[in-house]
Amino acid sequence: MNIRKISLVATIFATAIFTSCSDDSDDFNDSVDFAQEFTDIDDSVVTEPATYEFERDGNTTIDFSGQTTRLKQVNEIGALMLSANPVPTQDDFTNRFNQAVSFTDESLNGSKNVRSKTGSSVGLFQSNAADSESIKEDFDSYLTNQIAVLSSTNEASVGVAGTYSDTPRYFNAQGLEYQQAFYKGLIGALAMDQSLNHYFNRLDDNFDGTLSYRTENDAETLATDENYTTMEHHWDEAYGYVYGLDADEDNLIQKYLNDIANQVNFNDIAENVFKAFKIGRAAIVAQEYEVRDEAVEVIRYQISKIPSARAIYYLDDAKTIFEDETTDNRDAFHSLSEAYGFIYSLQFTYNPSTGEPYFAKAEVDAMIAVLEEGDGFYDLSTDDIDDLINQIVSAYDFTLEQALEQ
Amino acid sequence: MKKIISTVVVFMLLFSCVEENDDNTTEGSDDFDRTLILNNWVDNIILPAYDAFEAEVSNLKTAETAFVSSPSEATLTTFQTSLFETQKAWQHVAMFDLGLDVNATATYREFMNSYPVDVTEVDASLDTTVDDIAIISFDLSIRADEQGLPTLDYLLNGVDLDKYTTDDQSEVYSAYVTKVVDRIVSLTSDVTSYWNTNAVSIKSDGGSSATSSFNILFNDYLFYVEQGFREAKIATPSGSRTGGASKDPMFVESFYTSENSKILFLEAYEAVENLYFGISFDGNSDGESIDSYIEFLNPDTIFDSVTLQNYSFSDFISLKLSDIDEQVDLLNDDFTIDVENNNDNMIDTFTVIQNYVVFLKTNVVQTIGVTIDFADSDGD
Repeated sequence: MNIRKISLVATIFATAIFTSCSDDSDDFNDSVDFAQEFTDIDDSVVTEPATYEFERDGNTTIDFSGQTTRLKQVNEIGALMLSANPVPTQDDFTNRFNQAVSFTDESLNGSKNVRSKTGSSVGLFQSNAADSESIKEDFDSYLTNQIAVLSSTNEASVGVAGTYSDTPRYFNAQGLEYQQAFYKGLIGALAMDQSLNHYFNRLDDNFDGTLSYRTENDAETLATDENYTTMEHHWDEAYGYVYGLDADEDNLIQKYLNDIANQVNFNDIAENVFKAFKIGRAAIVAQEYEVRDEAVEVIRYQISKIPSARAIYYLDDAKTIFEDETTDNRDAFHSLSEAYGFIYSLQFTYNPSTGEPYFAKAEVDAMIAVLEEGDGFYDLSTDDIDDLINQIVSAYDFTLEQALEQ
Repeated sequence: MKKIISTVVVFMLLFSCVEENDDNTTEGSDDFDRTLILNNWVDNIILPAYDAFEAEVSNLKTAETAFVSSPSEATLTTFQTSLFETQKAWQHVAMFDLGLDVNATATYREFMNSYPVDVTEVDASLDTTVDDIAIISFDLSIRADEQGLPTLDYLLNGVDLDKYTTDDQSEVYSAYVTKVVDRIVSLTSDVTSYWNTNAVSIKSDGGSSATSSFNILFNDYLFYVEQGFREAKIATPSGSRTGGASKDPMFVESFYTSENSKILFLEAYEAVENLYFGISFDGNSDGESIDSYIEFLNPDTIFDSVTLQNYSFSDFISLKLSDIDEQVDLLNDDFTIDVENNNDNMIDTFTVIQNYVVFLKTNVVQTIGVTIDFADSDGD
């Protein structure tokens, strides 16, 4: 049992000293130049609906069916990654991930696929096709390599892919669960990248400086055969990558908006994201673009905390298991696989202070290399884990203690 | 060892504010009279719960005496039944973890209900002599998991009756059982007398400083919901924090009568709910408590991340408690079965309880302005 009431003493003194500052105690950092929370947005000039519902002439203007389709495709592919009987073939994966054919849910077959939207935002990859392709190939490899893991009849051990525990867990030769890399990696490479770096960069125009979509929105010029302006639609597509599925079906951002609500200091992310989406959409209808842009800042800032906070959370879990002499280190590999994916996702975050991701691709690649080098998780040390945790914390405006508080 | 110091500090502070009256407490930032809650908690929940528990402990001693003097199927069954009743009554006092001597090396709850029992150490003691048993010091915190209710569960339900009858070591087994029960009796006597002695002063301490009665009891509640309820009963056996990888049915409460584990959980859950709503131990009255305090303060609504809507505090907590109810309905009477076969249900139970913990630690704490006096645990 772990009791740390010793902090009571410190708390009492701290309370005595700091009682006058209590109003600011919830904010990690007040000295920033962008809107962090939905309450920071001056939305007095827009009319915000109670729910995310917007209409024109009595008909909805919202459509994010393409996002819903892709989130469902992700789920079917992810589920297939744990199908050991029969073991999926390369075609089973390629057909679904690349071509969007032969999905069991036939409504998912068609022109929309996951791979083309993976690591493909205008913001990060318009002039960097090589990185975009390299990211797509990472996900190709998770799928392809999983076939051998599923086919293995061995117990997973150092250098040997196979199963571990009666759940079972499918580890590659280095201890990684590819399904975790796939899901948690796509939180960044698909959902965050498309929402924060693609559609938020295509609100005023097609990332070309012409302001063509803004001109159309000002004139309420609707997209061809649609009931929405392009700016409205792009906002809804960003929204759809977060909320395109019911909360209990989603495996990407929305799942973690809920899960992270269980970390005390990130409990307010879900409310900030949803309300900023609602305010921003209302601001587009009202043609109040400063309000919209503040909402964008809040969403980018808040969602970008998720991969860092979860990576730290899972790394710390793994460290606890490594330090416990009575447990098998492989017990930590699921947590490390989660962390692997969340670290991967860090390169798709957006820091409103810099206009860049919190971590560049090269920095993320270096962190992933720490997890993969040698025998991977099997020879990872607690010092390695501490280094990763400290590196992640250093880029954000919360402390390690705040990140871990339950 | 931190907990030793902290326990001392807590008691020093509690006593000091009690004895010095309200001189060193500060006025709250609101006009709510916290003594109304304290009166309800102490008179209608805490003292009746301790009365009921002390009565069960007294029955337990009687059953132990009968068993040791004449070990048989009949006296063992009576003893086992008494233990189960004691375990149920325990769930209603476990969160009020005050009252041991200032020099105690662990808290009452730790001495009474640390599990899993350290079978290796207990068996080693059972392999010694009656004289050796006599000099074992149960006052040491390191021996917290060699005594109390879990150890008694092992001795009565995990050991064959012939260990107490025909076995060469039968006198040692009997001596150990007696020692465990006598320890439960004496600890409980200390704590109940603490509460009876200090009830008046605790109730009258309506301040809102970190050392006030309300803050200490609220913190004990929060700490219990996290550690005694969420971690010990659900998170640890299911290995929630490792996605189930570190699950271990041996960590289920009352492991040797694990068919009772859900009943014990539900008793504790009832106690957790009752304190929040101020429902009396006998279930017949609903007095002032956290819920009415919050209603008085009329705070902003709370956003729910699943339904994407805002709720009043009372509607929000109903939502969260019904999530727990639904999830707990899926659990077996015997949690070891869940851990072995349906561990996802245990992990999901952890999640819905954690939703309640976060509600307490964010929404409630911010609204009523309590300072949390313990660092969080991430389950290690």
